[in-house]
Amino acid sequence: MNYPVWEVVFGSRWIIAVIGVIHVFIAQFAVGGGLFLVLTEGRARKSEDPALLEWLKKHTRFFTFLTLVFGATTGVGIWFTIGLISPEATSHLIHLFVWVWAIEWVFFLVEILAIIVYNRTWVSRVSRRQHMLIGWIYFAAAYLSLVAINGILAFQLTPGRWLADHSLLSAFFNPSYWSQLIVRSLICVVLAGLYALVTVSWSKDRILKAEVAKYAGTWAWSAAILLLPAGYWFVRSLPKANEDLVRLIASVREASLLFLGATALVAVLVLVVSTVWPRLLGKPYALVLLFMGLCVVGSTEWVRESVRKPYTITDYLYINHVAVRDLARDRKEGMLAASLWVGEKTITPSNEAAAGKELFRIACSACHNAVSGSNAVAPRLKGLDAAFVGGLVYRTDLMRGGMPPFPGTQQEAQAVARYLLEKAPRGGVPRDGASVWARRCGPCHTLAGSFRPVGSFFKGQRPDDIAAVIEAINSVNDKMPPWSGSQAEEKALAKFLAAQGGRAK
Amino acid sequence: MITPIPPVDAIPVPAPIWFLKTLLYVTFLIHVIFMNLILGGNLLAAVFAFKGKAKHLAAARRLVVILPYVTAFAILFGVAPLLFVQVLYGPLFYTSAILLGTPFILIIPVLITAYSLMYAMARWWERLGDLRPWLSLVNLFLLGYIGFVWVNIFTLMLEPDRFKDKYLAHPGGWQLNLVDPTVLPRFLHMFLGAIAVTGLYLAIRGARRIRFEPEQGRWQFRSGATWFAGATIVNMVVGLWWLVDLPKDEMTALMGGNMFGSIALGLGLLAGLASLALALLGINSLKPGRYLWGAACALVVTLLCMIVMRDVIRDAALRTYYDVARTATHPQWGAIGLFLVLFAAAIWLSVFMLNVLKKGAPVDNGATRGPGLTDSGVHKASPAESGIRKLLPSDSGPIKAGPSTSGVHRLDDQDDQ
Repeated sequence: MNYPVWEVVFGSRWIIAVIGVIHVFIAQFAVGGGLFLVLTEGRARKSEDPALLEWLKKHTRFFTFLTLVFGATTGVGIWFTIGLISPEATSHLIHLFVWVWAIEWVFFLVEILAIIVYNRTWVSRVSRRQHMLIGWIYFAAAYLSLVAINGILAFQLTPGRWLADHSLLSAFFNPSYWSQLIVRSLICVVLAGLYALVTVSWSKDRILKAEVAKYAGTWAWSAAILLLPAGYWFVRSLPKANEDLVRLIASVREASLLFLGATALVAVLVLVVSTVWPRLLGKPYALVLLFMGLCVVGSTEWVRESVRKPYTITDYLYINHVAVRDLARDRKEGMLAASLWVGEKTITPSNEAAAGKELFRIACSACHNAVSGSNAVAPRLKGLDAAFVGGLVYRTDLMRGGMPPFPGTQQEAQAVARYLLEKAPRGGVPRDGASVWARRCGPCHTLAGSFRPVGSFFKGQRPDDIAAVIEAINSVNDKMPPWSGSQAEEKALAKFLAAQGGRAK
Repeated sequence: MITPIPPVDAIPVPAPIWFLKTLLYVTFLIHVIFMNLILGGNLLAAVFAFKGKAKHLAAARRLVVILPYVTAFAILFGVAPLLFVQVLYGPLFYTSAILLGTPFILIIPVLITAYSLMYAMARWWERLGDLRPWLSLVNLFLLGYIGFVWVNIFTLMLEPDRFKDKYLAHPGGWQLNLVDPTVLPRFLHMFLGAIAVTGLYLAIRGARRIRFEPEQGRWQFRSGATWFAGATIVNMVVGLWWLVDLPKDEMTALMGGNMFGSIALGLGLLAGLASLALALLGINSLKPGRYLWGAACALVVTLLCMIVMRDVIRDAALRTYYDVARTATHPQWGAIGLFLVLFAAAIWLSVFMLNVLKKGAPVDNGATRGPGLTDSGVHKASPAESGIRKLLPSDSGPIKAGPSTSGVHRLDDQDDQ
């Protein structure tokens, strides 16, 4: 709320997702690939394998080009993006971690120089030993840069003791530091193997291909297998609230399943080409493998981002840039009063929707579009009334999806509802009990699932009794919005719930 | 009244302000030198490639082959000041960047395109033929775009009063700062500076080649020095234009109002004139090297002074909104110490690696292959077949043994001994 919100038509989160995943996909290769280069060089020199060396030189050239032109630039891209999209969080992180970033920069300096020198001195007066030493320097610097940045990323998810003691050491070595480091390190090794399979697939030398398929393949499949328990350990290392999100939120579950599936598939596909059928290794196969690698990286980042919900820095800053300590004030005094970046300072009947648009931008647009695109809100509001939607908006933190609390007043929530309903599709909706349940109760409840199940509550109750409860639902529990549906909807819903109650054990 | 800028963070700045400012100045200075070489390098390469004589093409090639490396270091040394400016001026920097969000984020694909193009040009220079000058111009345009967006962000950042109206008019982030009269002279000043820096670089390298290729070397050093002198003279006029376009408060800060600003202006002007005089003296000298290095040193002093002035102008413009000197600090001395130790170690390692690079000049052709090449043995038959030319762009010319003195541009200097 302190900063203006950059309005991006298709949703600013996509920019960070695309740049972030591309960067991580290359940067983790830059780390694992460094170890691969130097160890493989040692192996090729020891066995005096000219074909392997020749390929390794080309692989180094590719490595240098990719990591410098795409790795370094997308790294800068992440800086730009987080400053644009989460200035509040970036500013906090920079104030806390500027020296960690400065130290990472020092490693970056060594990394860039080392890879240029390593690449330029393959054939030269430089001794083999010295060339390999440069390779080791490169890898050490690259890995240490991962060690540094991992502390900051893990901090966002699990700030741990820092919340109480505000010490840099507590912030850096936080509860999920080691599990994240292990996961990232293993992904680095997987990617090192996968990229090697890709560049060697361009070679016409069948023997070399088989040799690299076996050798580099072993890197990829063994690390991929280890990645599965490491991923599990990562989830288990999280505080229970974060761990629960994997179970409760469909998108987090999907991301976790994608991680499991992609990792297992990488292991299997690489094992096949590495041990059973090396001749399968052509360009299409290698590119499929690389794509699966991208899925592993993407899903890991996706899980890490989603289990942090509803925070950017857990227990400190919400994902919509509202500081936890400011929430009570904002809910009392309102966003329009607190924000520097709104045109409407008060809500009147004539400006309600316009104010709602500005409020939506502040409170919701970090994750949602209003009208169209993924996570768009208005299309889901078909058939609902302003009172109910306003009630939901005011209670976002109670809904399924791990949303932060609405950082404004009830009147402001109502304005957001008015704005969204203006954009919602018109037309009739089904009025049967199941549909009414899905529209009016589904956002916060399941019948028999894991998220606030209510099916058994209605066991043995008659539809008329249930209808009476529905009517007075806000008095029964003020966390729920008042009933604002029609009589017919109420009846249908009551009947539906009575039937569900009958089924409940 | 509501403060027109976002409040300072609850977490204090983890170092003394003077320390962060020193790092900001030094890292930005290095960034500017590399960045000037890329911008000026593409411009001069285009001009030389258009002229098309052998001497022009040789000079253009000399520039083009270093650009991928220079870009890597320009990015590296761009990240550091970006970090420090965020610590020091976060509320203003982020807001200004958001107002220009779309052109700002487009810098990334533009940079990737230009960087890839520079790699391709360095590698396939000979094969590109008539495309060469046009590709350099495309690069110049792309890089110019990046510079132009930065100038817009850093000037808009100085006018917080305009933030809110600009934002509400268009929250999509297309708010270039074109109404500000200082944007154009500021951009041109930087652009001409880039030509000057590249001219001087070319002159120094030409002078070093005189012993081996008298004609080419002499022409190149004269041409480079002329570009340097011409660009610097015009730049003094543009600098004056910028100065008079500055709001009164900011101008006053440079003319007695602020001690650092005034010293920087005076010293910068003197050093600029000294570098010009030295370069002109060098043009007619038989041994121009000393003059040119003198000019280069004076130019670095000028650049540093400009950077200090830029900072003084920033603080003068922001005085009523944001006093960086009063920001709460809580230095993390342990982390600062670790950073300094690691930085020193990195310098030491860099010197070691540059020495390795110097020792291991890439083999260019079989005829000049010296004894003692200790390749793995793969290329015993002929290094010409090794494919090593394809590894990365490299300069041509015979390989010479012997020491060399300079830093990063050594990457390509093996033929300059």
